[in-house]
Amino acid sequence: MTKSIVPTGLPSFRLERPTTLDEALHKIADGGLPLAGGSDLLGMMKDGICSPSSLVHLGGIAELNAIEMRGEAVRIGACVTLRDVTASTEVRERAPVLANAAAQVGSPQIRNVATLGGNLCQKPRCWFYRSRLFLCTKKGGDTCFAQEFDRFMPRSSRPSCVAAHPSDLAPVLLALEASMNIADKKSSRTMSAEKFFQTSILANETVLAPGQLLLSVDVPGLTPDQRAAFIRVEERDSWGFASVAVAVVLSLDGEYIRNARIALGSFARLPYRAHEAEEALRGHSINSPILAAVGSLAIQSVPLTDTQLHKGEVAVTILRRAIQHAAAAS
Amino acid sequence: MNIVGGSPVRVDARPKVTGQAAYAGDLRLPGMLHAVVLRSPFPHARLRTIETQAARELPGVRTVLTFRDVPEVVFEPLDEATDGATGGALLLGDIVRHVGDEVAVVAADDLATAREAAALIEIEYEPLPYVLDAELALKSGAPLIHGGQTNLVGNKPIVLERGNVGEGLQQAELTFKEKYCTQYTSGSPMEPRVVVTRWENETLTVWKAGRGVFLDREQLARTLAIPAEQVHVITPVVGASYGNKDESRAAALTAILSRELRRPVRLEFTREEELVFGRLRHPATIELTIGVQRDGSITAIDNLTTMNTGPYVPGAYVIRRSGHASTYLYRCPNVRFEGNVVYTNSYVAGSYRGLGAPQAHFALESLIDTVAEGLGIDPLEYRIRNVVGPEGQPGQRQSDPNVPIPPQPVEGGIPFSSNGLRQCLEEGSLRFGWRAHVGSSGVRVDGPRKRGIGCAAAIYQTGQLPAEAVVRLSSTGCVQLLMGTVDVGQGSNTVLAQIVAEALKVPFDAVDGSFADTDETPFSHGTFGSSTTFSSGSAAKAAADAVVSQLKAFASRLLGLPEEKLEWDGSAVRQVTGDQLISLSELLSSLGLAQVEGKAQVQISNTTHIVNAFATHFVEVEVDIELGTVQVMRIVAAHDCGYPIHRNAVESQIRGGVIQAIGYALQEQMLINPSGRPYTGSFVNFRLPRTTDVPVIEPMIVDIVDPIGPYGAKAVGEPAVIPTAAAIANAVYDATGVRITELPITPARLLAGILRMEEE
Repeated sequence: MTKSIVPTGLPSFRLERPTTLDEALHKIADGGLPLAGGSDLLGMMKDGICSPSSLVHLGGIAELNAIEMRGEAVRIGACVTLRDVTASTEVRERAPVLANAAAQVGSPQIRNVATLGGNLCQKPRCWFYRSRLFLCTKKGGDTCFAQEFDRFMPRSSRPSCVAAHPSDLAPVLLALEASMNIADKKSSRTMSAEKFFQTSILANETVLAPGQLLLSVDVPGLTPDQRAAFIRVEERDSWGFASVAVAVVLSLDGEYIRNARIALGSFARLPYRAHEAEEALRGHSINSPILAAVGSLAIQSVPLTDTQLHKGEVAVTILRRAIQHAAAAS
Repeated sequence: MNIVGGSPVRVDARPKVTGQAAYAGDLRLPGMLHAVVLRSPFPHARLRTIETQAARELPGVRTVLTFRDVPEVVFEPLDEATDGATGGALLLGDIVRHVGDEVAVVAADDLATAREAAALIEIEYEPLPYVLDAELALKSGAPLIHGGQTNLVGNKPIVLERGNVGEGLQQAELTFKEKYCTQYTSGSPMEPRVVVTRWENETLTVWKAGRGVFLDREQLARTLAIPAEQVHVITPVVGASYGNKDESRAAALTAILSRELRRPVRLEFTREEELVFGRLRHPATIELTIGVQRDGSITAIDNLTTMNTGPYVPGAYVIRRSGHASTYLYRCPNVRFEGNVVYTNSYVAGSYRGLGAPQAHFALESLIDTVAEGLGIDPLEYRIRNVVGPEGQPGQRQSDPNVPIPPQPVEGGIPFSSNGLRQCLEEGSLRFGWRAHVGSSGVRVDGPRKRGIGCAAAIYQTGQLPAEAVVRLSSTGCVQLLMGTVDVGQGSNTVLAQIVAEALKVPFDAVDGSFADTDETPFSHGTFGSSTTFSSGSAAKAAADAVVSQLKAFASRLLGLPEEKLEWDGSAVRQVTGDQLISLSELLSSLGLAQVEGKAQVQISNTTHIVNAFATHFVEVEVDIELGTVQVMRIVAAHDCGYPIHRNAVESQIRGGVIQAIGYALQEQMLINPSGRPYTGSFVNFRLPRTTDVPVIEPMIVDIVDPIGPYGAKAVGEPAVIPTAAAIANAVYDATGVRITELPITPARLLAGILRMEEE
């Protein structure tokens, strides 16, 4: 039976406030959902998309809230706010592109509470996914409403979901080849950012399983021959989610690209490295006409609906611009 | 003039910025319950069964109302222009006609319990055939929203005609034709709809975020079948109305709960409810044809407009405002406007700032640029030559010269009381630097960014509605002003106090105003139709003038001088030439009076002139032609609003209107899934402009003193929002060569246009 529409509000829940990581991991293993800044999760709960019975607040755990040097890498705790990522001397000196990207997320108010881990683990902003009036595939239904009336893609080649992953920082960390430190109550391990975002489970955006937590991210600093850039485009001038975001790290030899790392966010279901585009750039001058062509290589594997088509054009354009910006960066 | 025309600190400024201002939603009464509305998930359905027992049994729940528990009464006011239209909404019915239609209401001790209980109500719906699109709804075989023969409101189009448009098109040497489409948008006031009701001693007291206490009282009395004297409506500080917040359905439902439970009840819409289930601006399709001679003179304007009104608000008053634009902005002997308002199962559209005028001006002022280009004339020059002048439209007046002229006539031969449209065009263009820009269309400013400029004009009625005022002047010089007017945030409480202070020649601070309370203040029209300063202001001035006349009459008797030899100076009545005087306190004490009271009941009507406000907006944009993004760089908004009573408040109105119109032009759209369900119910996806989207806005008030309005004032509230979208579309065309005929001008639409043009 179709349910009537009831106004939503924040449902009641139990709030756990562990003071040690071990305690937090046990609470999470028992089914509590990790709560950092809450800018995404509490909104989902208020909108009636999820109603966990228990939230595990991570703000009181020191090691999740620190920025420190680990060799040549900057280790950023998952609960460090985006404001602090932006303000961090370590980050600004070694990976200014990350500080710059963090400064473009949301609004100052949001950056004051939203965290690095939350930004990487947030759920998509697809309007149908975020509406309790639509039971979409990602929520276990059988329709992707964003494609329901698509006039472009053949029905057989339609993916089960076309919601774009909204994180601005994910493509930056992919391009920087950061490592993610994760743990559950029994063990901990480290994996590449690329691996972290490779999941085939439709309901998920990361490989984190129930009980697992992202502890911190190790961000390698840029080497002297590397240049980086991040560009995001949104429909308004501020405070929105990107319609496309591109991060680029180039190793340059004069005007020649020795190596390129390209990542796209807010574009596909998961943030991804565009390896074919990277290969195509190798050895070319930053003034080569190939810059205009690599964009289509970077997006060719992503299915777009008719209403998303312009995003392809936008991605191609900002990828070219990002390469040019990176090359011009000092 | 001294107080009028200045910008004294607004009476609401300090309470608002210090957080002291109390809105209806701030009210907490002892024993107050919280209500929640349950809404339909189907666009059209019959309620087969309703099971409320589980909800009723939840601890803390006081009652549940369904259609069985409320009077079967049409609450929606059927406006004057519906020509016997069927329709209107029942308070609660067994048929629902849009997704979000009210089905039941729950009252509980707290909000969370009320929500929980609402979710326990089980309803079996029998889905009925539905139609969301206005053009489809007019086809034969379409589901009929209110039975009858057709979904067309009033069963026939609304036709406004002057001259003979067929002949005018035959005379034309060139004809220009285009179809325009506009979208649903929401006014999005900061304060959502909220109401608190109390039923005590057979009197219903209602604190409501609204726009007209007497309208609410009338609707509530009729809905509840009780005398109006038993309904007491108070509208405290309002967090914006934009002409919206007019209906009283929520208030009626909470009133019934209060009556049944003998407890105060509070109902506040969530942001989603306010955005989606409030009242939206009508989407329109406009087919517009303009015939011209090679010299530019317009021989015919033909406009066919179709508007989707959703299932309930008849909306004829909305589409008539579209007609005004296309029949009156340009000098033209032959005009025809055909407006079709169509019932559908889509969102409920209603009153929203500008009514049908923003849609119509978007179309007209876009096509005028196309006409000017076709003739090789600069669009500003073209407008200066062809807009309607102070003499009005050509032709002979047909109507009875003794009958008042409606705010929006169709016939020609009637002059305007004042018309500063040419000043708006000329002085606004000087301020903007239009001529310096001419010839620089599509100039690249920075790599892929191209610059463009555009302008658009507007005409709008000045609302002429009945209003009353009471002014009391005490012997100590304190002034009390009583009016039923609702200040929706635009500043009318300040403006009305200024008018009284000016008329009484007392300091602005001496006036203490009380407003918007049906028991304490005299009758007022609602705050809509850009009427408040003009209509309520006239009543305020008349009441103050009545005080002065009485003072002079008293003094005349006491001093033995004729009244015409006396003047009131703010503290005493004195001889105009000579030194005899009597102070206010002496005057009143010698008469044994504590105060003098002036009352006025005013309905401005004029049999010789049209009272209209005018505007022209000038816009500079930069377009990133690779991304399709538009950045508005600068807007000069020139207005003939008559004389500005409070200059700063007028400028704020203009700025606010322009910001809303930028959202309308570029970003905002309320979208609906073909199942009838909304999916843009939050500020994340209903994209209001952010501060960073708002350019430098330069309001400009041209020097016009209207001979009819109080102290020369006319109107600005709605005109501020009307011309901007077309001006932006024209600037985008100037920058890119792409003509966007469908709002909003999204990056996707613009980029597609740019790519199409590059291919050609």
